[in-house]
Amino acid sequence: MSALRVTAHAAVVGFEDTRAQYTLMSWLFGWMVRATAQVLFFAAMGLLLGSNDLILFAFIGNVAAMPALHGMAVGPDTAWERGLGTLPLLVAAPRSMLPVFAGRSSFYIAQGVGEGTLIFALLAPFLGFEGLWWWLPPALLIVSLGSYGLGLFLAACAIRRPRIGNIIFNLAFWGIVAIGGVNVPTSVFPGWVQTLAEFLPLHHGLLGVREVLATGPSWEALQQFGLELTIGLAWFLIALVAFRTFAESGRKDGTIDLVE
Amino acid sequence: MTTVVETEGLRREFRARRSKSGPVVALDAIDLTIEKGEIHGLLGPNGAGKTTLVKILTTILIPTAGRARVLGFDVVDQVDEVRRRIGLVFGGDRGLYTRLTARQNLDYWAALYDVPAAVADTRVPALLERVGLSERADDRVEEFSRGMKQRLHLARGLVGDPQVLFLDEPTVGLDPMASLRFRELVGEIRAEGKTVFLTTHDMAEAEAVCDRVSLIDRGKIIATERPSVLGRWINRFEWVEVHDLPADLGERFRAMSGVASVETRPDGWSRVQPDADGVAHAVLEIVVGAGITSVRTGSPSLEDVYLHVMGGRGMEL
Amino acid sequence: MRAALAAFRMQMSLVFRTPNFWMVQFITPAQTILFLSVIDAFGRPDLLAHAIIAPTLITIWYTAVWTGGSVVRNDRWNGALELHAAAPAPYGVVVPARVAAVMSMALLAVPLALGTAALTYGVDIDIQHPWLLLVVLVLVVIGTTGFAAILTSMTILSRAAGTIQNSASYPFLLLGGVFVPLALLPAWIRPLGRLVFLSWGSDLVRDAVAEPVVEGVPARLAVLTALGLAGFVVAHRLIRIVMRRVRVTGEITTA
Repeated sequence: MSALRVTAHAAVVGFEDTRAQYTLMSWLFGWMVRATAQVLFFAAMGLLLGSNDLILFAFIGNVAAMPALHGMAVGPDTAWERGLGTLPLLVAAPRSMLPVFAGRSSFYIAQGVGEGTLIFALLAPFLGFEGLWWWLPPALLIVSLGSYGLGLFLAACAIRRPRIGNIIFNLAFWGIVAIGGVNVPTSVFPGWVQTLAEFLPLHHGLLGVREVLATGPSWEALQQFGLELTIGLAWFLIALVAFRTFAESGRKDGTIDLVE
Repeated sequence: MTTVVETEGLRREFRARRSKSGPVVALDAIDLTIEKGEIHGLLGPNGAGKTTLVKILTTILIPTAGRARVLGFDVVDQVDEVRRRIGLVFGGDRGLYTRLTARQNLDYWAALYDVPAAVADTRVPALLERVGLSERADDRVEEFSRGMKQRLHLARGLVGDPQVLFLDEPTVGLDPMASLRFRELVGEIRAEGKTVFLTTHDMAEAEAVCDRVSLIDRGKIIATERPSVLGRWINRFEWVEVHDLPADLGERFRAMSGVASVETRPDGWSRVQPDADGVAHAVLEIVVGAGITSVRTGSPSLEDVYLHVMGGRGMEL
Repeated sequence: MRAALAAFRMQMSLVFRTPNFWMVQFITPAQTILFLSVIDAFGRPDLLAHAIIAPTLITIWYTAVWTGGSVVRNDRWNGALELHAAAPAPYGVVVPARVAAVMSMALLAVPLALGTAALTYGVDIDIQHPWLLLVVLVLVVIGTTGFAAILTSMTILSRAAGTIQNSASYPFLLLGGVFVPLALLPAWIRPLGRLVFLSWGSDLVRDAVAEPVVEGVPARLAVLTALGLAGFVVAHRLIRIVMRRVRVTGEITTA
């Protein structure tokens, strides 16, 4: 239970950090404008290709990519933690660092799901989506949770090399968007790329999202969500090992500075 | 003597962004003059307004009211003339491009201070030599210690060959050796005929380096004098300090005419402060006659002045 | 002039030593694959120019918005902004020069996109007008530099500089017709798009790559140049106004 307490406290810190960065207005007119435009940018590809199917396909794919983006954003957020100089204090604390980082960034999950839902609600009527989408928010929650584990693993990598934290994050995110079935089905890629996508977040969750939007809850959708959560959990465990390894090696080679 | 810096009724207010209360007055009716070739100290606790004053004199901030002139040029209306003739040094680690080398940092600022390339080619190495960084000239600043960074800051402040150098808490965070070395450098700079304005909350530094010191508290200048004269403001009489003063002697001194106070410190030293002529001599005779050899005498220090004037605020960091 | 050159050189040195300045270039290959996979899925090799130009322009724009836009913010964080305020060289000259240094790296997007296309899809693009393409790309980079200088000057006063940078990214890429030409977007959006100089650049770049004959080159180049230079002029004036305002309000000190 005490790890949960730590996580909860850390979540409060995370929420306050976000509130310090964004007011409601700046979130609306800054971040949301960008996020909406990003979805529209890729959905508009259908106009060039003359395909309404592509418009909707890319629309749904890029909406689902939003919670994935936020889930993975733990990476650079954690690199910032190191820059703050609070890392050595955390390592010295008697708990694993993981609950702290997990808690601090848990607000990203809520943000990603909320944004994705809001953007979908705004644009769906204009882009020709017809159907019910009540199941979208829980589906996006699963996508976000699925990406969280990879985000934490990236965070562990970022801690070792904070200067390339942003690079690691962007490489991972755009790589997943490129091959994960966001704008085109993964079947257009060679076999090994398809296999790679199977073991990365977003791919299965996105298939589940498409399924629930097309037909509502179904066994097929549940299977995909199950796979998404399994892969997310696997990355979560890998992240746990990576954090512990970092803390040990950091203590051994003295790379944890007290004065940055 | 030529006046190089003068302020008249200088005032600076800040409006807090999301505060409903009125503006914060950082400086209030500051009248100050600094003479050519002087090292002038501005001594005060954190939040007293030292940095605000430096920023106005170096044209970073515009005063809310009043005037300030540096080398005869107004800091508001003749900004370019002022900037060309002054140098600015902040304390701490900030302000350097840590991923560049020391030399690259200085080359950059030399260009921004319009130092001709040919002149910069000799001046930059000379400055690095002077501050003891010539062997590390091509190392990245991020590898430097705090003391080295501060010396590089000083070199940066001198790269434009300024007539007036403003140092804002330049030795903050430095170890004693580094602080001492820095003070020596400042002394050398004055010997070249430059004027130095130095803010600090380090009493020893102000006393050791400054020709005159202005005390500032809550935005107001309280006094401007030579450190020794300031000391005399509290008490012009020498004090006598005794280690392990026996209680009976202490009572005797307290009852003695011409003794203002007898105070014992945790380190075991007791200070007998006279306030009349000849009393220090009498106290000394009694102490020596009692066979006590751990004795010392002195005049009030700037620290004594500071604590006396600032009262309970003391030396908060 | 000397200050501008020194600022350019200094920033180039910083760029080479700061991995975050390279971040945007790392995105180029992934986005190239993204666009190529789309045209491949639809069997549209005629849109190859679109698929390679889009990630190139995105990289150029992103470099402007994020890294170019961070020049002043980084100065503020590391305390150098105040030192610049006290220096004789105008910050309004220093900033555009430093942003230009950052932007010059953005042209790396061209070989990155071409190389990715060759390696992954085995495509080799035949550029119809290489010299025109070079001129247009340079003008696009110059214009984007001016825009980035405007953006970075706004970060002096704002705590939410990241917000400004966010809202300047994809909205402008959409309005700039970076993948989907402005002519194909809804009619009501097109006038807005024409205000974004990127839309002029996008069309001209695509034409230089793929069109045997490019119509109206002098006029289009003139518009691109004018809009780009206007950005520089505005940035210079804006920085002067902003620095003056900062001296009055003390925002450097308190922000």
